[in-house]
Amino acid sequence: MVELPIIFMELANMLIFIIVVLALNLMAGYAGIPNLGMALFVYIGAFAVAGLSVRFAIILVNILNPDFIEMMRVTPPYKYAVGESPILDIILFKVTDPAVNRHLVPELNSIIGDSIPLSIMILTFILASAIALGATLGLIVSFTAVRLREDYLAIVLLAFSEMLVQVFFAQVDWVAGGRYNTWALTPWPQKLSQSLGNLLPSGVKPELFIGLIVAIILAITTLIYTERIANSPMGRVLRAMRDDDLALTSYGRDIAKIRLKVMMVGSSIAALAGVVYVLSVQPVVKATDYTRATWTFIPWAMMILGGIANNWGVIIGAVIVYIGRKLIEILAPPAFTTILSFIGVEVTGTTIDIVKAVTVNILVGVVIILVLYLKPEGIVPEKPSKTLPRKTLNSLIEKFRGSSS
Amino acid sequence: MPILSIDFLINGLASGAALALLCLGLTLTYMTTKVPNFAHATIAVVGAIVTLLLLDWVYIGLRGGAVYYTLYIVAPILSALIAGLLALTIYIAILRPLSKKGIGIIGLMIATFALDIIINNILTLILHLTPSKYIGKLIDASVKGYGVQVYIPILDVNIYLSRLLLPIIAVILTISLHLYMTRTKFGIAMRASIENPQLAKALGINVDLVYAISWFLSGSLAGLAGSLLAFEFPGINPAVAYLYIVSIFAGSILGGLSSMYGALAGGLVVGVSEVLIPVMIQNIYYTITGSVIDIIRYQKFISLLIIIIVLLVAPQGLAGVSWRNLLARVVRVG
Repeated sequence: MVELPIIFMELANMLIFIIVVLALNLMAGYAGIPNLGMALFVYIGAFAVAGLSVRFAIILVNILNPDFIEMMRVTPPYKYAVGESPILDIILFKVTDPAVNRHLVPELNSIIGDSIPLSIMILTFILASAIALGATLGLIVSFTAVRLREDYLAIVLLAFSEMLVQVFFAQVDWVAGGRYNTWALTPWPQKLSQSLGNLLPSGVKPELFIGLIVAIILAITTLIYTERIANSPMGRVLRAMRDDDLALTSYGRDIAKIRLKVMMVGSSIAALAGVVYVLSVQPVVKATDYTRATWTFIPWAMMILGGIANNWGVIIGAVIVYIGRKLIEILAPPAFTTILSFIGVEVTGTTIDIVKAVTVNILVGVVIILVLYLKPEGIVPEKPSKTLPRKTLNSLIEKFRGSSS
Repeated sequence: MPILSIDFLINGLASGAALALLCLGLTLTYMTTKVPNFAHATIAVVGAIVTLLLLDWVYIGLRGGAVYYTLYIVAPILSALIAGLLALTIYIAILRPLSKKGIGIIGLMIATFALDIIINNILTLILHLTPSKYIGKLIDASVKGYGVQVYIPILDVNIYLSRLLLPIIAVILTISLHLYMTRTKFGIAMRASIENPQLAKALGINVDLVYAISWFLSGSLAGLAGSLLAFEFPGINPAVAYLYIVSIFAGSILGGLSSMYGALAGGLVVGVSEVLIPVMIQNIYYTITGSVIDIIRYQKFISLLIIIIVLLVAPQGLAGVSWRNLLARVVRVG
């Protein structure tokens, strides 16, 4: 029987994919920016919780309680001389050292959990830094190609995503852990977790439940936000840019400016999804886990299957692909084990893991190509936007005002 | 310590030549069918894997000269053929029907992106399941591991034959491609279909055939480069394609994505600088400070830097710069 915690975790994970797909749909579906670098923006959100907020928390805790670092000095992995001030070295370099990180993060978690103002400050910092990092990165990354054709944008986004996540963050150890795991903060107040722990059925971790609630709130907010953008004059501008940028330019719109704006908004939403992913599903952050197969390819499949430029459609696509992916992950290993042992190939644990990932990727790729071939508009095709021109709206308002008075 | 040594120069030249071949292929398909082929690096990996499979197959059976013939003559040709056929199949079975249905450039791009991941994962599966005669599974094997490469001594340094072959093959291919494009009827038809497909069709040129041939050529260039690059990898993991594609795009963008000679030059520049710049920085740093820094693992950053600089300064690439005007201006200033 499937356990309740697993259901909660899968639900949270699915909601996170829905948020990512809605952000992707805003960028690629409405505005026509083929974002092949979603993995980067999701990862930067995860980095905001893991690498960045731990540093902020150390500074904050150290200001409130100067003995904190002195206390840390005694524990084995540090070894600083008496006169030395370790704080700068710890904040810059040692935070992501796995030996230090493993000690430091639970220590910080318990300190943060004890005081509600501290945990609110940390949470605000996490959200603000994720949004700021996502927006800045979206701006910087797309700036190089924003005036060029869409295919250049796609190439640049892919190049930045691969280079930053898989080379920079995955190789430079002191920034975000590099080749080693880093643990993320769980900045919820202790009182909240305890009272939730009493209410929840046994086995469900309070952090997971809070993460699920946050994921639900963020998903609903994102849906309302993207729906409102889609049905606003801005949404019409975005579609016009996607369909014919030359015509839009001749109407006096600055394509580059609109693209940069959309990239900033979309990337910060994706970064928030990364934050929620770390807070609820995967508290251990490692750059190499944020592959383009998982965080770029699968959201694209969800969007294309559901229906490009239709928010409800992409949600349906996300649910279908997510459930399908889970089913494959459950069904593929036994099927392959039978086939392989029939052929006579030795089956080991790593083989099974690889078979799982490989089958998912191949089938998701086949789904993309089949949908493009058979039903390129997706399950739920794009609908005309519901906005009226501003003049008509104004005249209608005038009419209603006139009739009421 | 000298800033550069001969083996690093040859290594850089080989990497540049391989990248030039790959950029040429990518630019060729981009010019004809207007699709940036995100699966190009994976097609090159197919060439590398064909070489590895062939080597593993003949490893026990053949001895002596036959192994070398297989490694340096049969394997590259076979890899080029198989990779070319794969690229041709991709175009005829998937991209052409999609394009005929009116799918836009973003859709075609995503299709190649999906194909990249599909082929890459199939290759991973094959490597993980195929037992090797030399070592456990093929995923753990590398062409180096069989110990059958040929070294050639140049100035007291032993150089791999594959590293010498890459620049030579690149030069021969460039010359023959130039002759093919300017002297043969089909080459001129190809240039016409790139220049103006509608007019070429009106003149009775079979544009579809030209496009198909360009995909085959592109694939076989990638397979050839991949087959000779297989000697460089410590182990053949198809995931190398995920990073390698960035270098290919960097070279092609530097070349301008609109001219074959530009692509060759761009690939050469990117490939050479990826190998030599980190080494030069390391050696200069060593001579100045006397301590060693390890930055070779960040060499792919040079590709990203080149993409950024080219797109900001001259988005048309090398092919878009009017060299004659530039030269005239420089001469006038001088």
